[in-house]
Amino acid sequence: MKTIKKLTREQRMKRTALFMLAPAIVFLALLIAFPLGKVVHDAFSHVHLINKSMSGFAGVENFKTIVSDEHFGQAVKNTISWTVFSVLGEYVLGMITAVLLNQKFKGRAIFRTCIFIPWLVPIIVAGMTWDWILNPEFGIINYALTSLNIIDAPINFLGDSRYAMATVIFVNIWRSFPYYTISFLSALQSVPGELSEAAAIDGAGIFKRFFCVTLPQLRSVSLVIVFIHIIWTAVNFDFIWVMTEGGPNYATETLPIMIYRYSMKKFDVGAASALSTMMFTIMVILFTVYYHKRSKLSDEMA
Amino acid sequence: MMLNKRNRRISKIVTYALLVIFSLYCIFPFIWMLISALKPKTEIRTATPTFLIQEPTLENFHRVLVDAGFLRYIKNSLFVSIAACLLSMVIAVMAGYALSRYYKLKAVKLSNLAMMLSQMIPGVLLLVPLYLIMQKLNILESYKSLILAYTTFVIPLCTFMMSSFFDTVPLALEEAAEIDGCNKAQTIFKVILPLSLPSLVSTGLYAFINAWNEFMFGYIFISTDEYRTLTPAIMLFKGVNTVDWGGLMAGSVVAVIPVTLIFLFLQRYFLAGLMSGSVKG
Amino acid sequence: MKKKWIAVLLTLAMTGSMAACGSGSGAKSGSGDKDEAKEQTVELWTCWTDGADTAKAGEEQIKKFEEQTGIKVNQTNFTYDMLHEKILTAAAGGNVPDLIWGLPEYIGEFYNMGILEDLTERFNDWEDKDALSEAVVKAMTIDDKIVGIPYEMTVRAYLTHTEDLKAAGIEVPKTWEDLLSNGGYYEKNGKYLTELACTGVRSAQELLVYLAQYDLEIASAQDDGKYKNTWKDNDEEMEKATKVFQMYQDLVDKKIIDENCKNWGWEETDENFATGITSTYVTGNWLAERETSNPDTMEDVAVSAIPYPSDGHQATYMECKPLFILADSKNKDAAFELATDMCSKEWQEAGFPDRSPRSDVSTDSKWSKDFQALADTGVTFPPVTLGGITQAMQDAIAKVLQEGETPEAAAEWLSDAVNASLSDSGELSE
Repeated sequence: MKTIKKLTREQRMKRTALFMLAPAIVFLALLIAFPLGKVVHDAFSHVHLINKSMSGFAGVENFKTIVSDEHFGQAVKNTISWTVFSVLGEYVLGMITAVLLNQKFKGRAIFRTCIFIPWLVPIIVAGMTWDWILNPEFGIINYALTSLNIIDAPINFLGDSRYAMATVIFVNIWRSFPYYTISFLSALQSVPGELSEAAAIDGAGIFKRFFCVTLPQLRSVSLVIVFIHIIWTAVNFDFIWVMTEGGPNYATETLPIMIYRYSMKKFDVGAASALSTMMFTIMVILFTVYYHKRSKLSDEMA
Repeated sequence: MMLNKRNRRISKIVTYALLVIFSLYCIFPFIWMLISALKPKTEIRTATPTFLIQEPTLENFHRVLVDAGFLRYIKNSLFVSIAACLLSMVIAVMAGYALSRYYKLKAVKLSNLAMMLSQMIPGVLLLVPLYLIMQKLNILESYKSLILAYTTFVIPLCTFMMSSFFDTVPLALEEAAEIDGCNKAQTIFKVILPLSLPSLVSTGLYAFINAWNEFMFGYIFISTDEYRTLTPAIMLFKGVNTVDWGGLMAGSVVAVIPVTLIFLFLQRYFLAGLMSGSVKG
Repeated sequence: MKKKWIAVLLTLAMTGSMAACGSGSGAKSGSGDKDEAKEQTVELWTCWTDGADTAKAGEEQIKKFEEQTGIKVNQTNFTYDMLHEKILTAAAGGNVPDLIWGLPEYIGEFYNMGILEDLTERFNDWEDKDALSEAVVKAMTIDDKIVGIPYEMTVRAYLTHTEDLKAAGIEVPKTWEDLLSNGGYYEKNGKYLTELACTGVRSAQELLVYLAQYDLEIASAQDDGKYKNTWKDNDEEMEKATKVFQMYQDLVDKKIIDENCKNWGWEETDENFATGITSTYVTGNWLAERETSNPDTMEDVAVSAIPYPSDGHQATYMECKPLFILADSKNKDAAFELATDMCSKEWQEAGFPDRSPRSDVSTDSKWSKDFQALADTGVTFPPVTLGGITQAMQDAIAKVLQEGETPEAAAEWLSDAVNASLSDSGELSE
C-alpha cells in the first residue's frame, strides 16, 4: 500500500518537473542543441561555401587544417591571455569597488550607478567609442598624454601589435567588471557586518580583515562568477571584432575570431566547425573540473 | 565604532578618492560620446580633440532620429527586448522552480547539466545553422526570430538565478500554503512569486539588457528597415568611405539612455535579486 | 484537482511561449499570398551613406521609377560589410533579395557560389549599353558572362596638398624615386610626405596598383580557364614583386611615411589626408565630400597620377561597382529594369555625377575630369574568389613592415598563399 502511493507521488513529481522544464528544453533543443549537432557533423565533413566540389566525409582533415594554420598557435595563446587577464583584472577591480561601496557613506548610490553604467552599454557602442578615444591622431587620450608630456609620441593603442591585446583587455575589463562589483556587493551585504566589526575589535587591520573575513565570505560567489566569466570571455566574439577584427596582423586574433575568419572569409565551414568543436570540447573539460570543485566546496559548506 | 576618528577620516577620504577615480573611468566614454554627439560636423574630428564645444548643436540627434529613422529602431528594440524579457521570465520561473524543488530527479539533473553546457558555445559559431532554422520556421524578417534567439541564449542564466532564489525559500512555507488548501499553481503565484520580486526583476533586467545590446543576430536575421533594431542601425553610420562620427555618437547616446534609465529605476531590486541569486549561482 | 490546475497553468505558459513559433508559420503563408498579389516587387539592397547626395538622389529616382513602371521597390540600406555577410549567410538558405549593390571584390566569390544571374542576353538587348566603355563591361564579366550592371565607377589618383608641397619647395612626385628622394621631408615640414593603407580593403587595392605598375598580376588566367600566381615560376616577376615590397620598406625606413602606417586602414589614411596631417595620398574622389567637412584643409588639393617606378608605367585601381541580380530572384525582369534605370543617364547625373561608369556622364570639377583622365590605366582584381587573396596581400605587407621579413620572402610567401587560396576555392590551375 505504502509503496504504491510513494510511486505515484514520485511519478507525479516527475511529471510536474518535466512540465515545468519543457519550455526551456524545447528552446534549448531547437536553437542550441540542434545547430550544435550540425556543427559537430560539419566538423567531420567537407563543407565549403564556394568550392562545391568539396563534399562528403572528411575524417579529421578539417582538424588538421586548423592545427596546421600558421596562426593557430598564436590564436590559442591570445585566447588564453585574453581570458586570463580579462578575468583577473575584472576580479580585482570588482573586488576593490565592491569593498569600497560596501561602506556606509553619502552618495553611495550615485557612485554605484556610475560604476555600473559600462555594463549597460551595447558592446559595439563601447567598442567604437573606445576605438575613437584611443585613436593616435584624433583620440583624446593620446592628446592628453602627449600634452602632459607623459609620452613623446602618440601610441597607436589598437593598431600596434605590441599594445593591441593589452588595450582590448583593458576595454573588456572596463565593460565587464561592474558585474563583479554588483555580485560581490550583494554577497557582502547579505552577510552580517558584525563579523568584520568583531575582527576590528580584535584589532585586525584593514588588509587582515579583508583577507581573513571578507574574502572567505566571497569564496562561493567568486567561484561561480569567475567560472562563468572565463567561459563568456573565451567565447566572446563581438568585442575584439568591433575593435580590431583580430588585427593588427593577427595580434588579437582569438579562437572565436578565427572561427569567423574561416567561415566568413575563407568560406571553409568544415574547418570552422572543427575549430568550434575543439573549443567546445575544451570548455566541457574545464566545466568538469569546475563542477568537481564546486561540489567539493558545497560539501564543505554543508 | 572601534576605528578611531583619524583613521576613520582617512579611510573615508581614500574611499571617496578611489570611487571618484573609478567612476570617472566608467563614465568617461559616455561623456565623450555625449559631447561628440553635440558637436557640429566641422568640430567633430579635428587634430586637437577637446571637451569644449564651440557651437553645440542638435543636428546629429535630428539626423539620427528623423532622417535615419531611429525612432522606429528604438520601437523595434523595445518591443523585441520586452517580449524576450517576459518570455524568458516565464520560462526561467518554471524551469528554475523545477531545478530547485525536484533536483533529485535524474531528468532535472540532466537538464541542469545541459543548460550549463549550452553556455559554452560561442554564439558566432551557431550563426549559420541558426539562420537556416529561422528560415525553416519562416520567421526571418520578423520580431519572432530575434525574440526566440534572445530568449534562448538567456534561459540558462535566468533559470539559475531563479532556481538559486527558490532554494532560499523554505519548503515549510509551501507546505503551510498547501495545508491551507492551496494547490501548486496557487502556491507559486500567491506565496513564492511575491517573495521573489527582486529576483524576478533582476532576471528580467538581465534578459532585457542582453536583448537590447545584442548585435550579431539582429544584423543577420533582419534585412528590412521595418524590423531593424538599434545596434545594427548604429553600425550603418560607419559608411563606405567616411564614418559619420556625429551620427554614430548620437545614435549611441540614444541606445544607452533607455537601459540606463530602466536600470536607475530598478537598481534596488536588481541588487537584492542578485543578492539572493548569485550567492549560490 | 491540484494536477488540473498545474496543467492549466502550464498549458497557458506553453502556449504563451509557443505563440511566437505558431504565429510565425501563420505570417509565412500571409506573406506568400502578398507576394503573389503584387508580383512586381523588387527587393533592393543598397550601401549608400544616409543623407549623402547619392542617397537623396537614389530615393528620389526610386520614387520616379515606381511611378513610371508600377514596379514596387523595397529598398534597404546596409554597409558593404553587412551586406556581404548577409548575402553569404542568406545564400546558404537560398533566401536572398532581388537586386544588390556589390563591390568588384565580390564578383568571383558570388559567381563561384552560383548565386548570380547571368545577364549577358538581357545586357545585349539593352539599348543603352553603348554608354559603357569596354573596360567597364569587362569589369562586369566573368567566364565570358556579364553578371553585373555598373552603378558607380571610381579610379584612384594621387592627391596632393599643393600648399604643403609649395612650402616644402618640391614638385608633385611622379615616380617612386621622386618619393624616395624626399628623405628629409618630415624633419623639415613636421608632417609626413605621404602614406599607405596597410590594413583593410584599401591595402590590397593599393598593392594591386603597385604590382600592376610592373605588369604583375596577383593571379593570372591560365589556358585551362583557371588561375594561378606565376611569380615563383618566373624569376623576373619575382624580382619585380620583391621591388614592390622593397618600396614599402624603403618608404618607412626613409621616413617618407609614418611608421604607424603599418596599422592603418582607409579610416586613418583618408582622415589624415583630409585634415592635412599628411601632404599627399593615393585615394578616390569621394574625398570631394571632405571639402564641406574640412573646408580649411581641403581647398588646395590637386589631382595627379599615382607615382610609378621609373622602370614601370602608370597604373591605377579601377573600382567598378556592379549591381547584381541574384539567381534566386523571382523578379529578374523587374530587377533588371531597375538596375538599368540606376545606370541611366538621368540617375547617374543625379546620384553619381563624379563617379559614373557611363562615358557620357561627367562634370568639370577636378573630382570628375582629372580622375577620368586616369581611367585608361585602370586595373581590376582578377575574377576569382578574393577573400583569402586580399587577406594574404594584407598579411604580406604586414610581414615586411611588422614582422621584419625581407621583401623577397614576403613576395614568395604571397605567391604561395595566393595559390593556396585558389586551391581552396577550386580555382587553381594545375
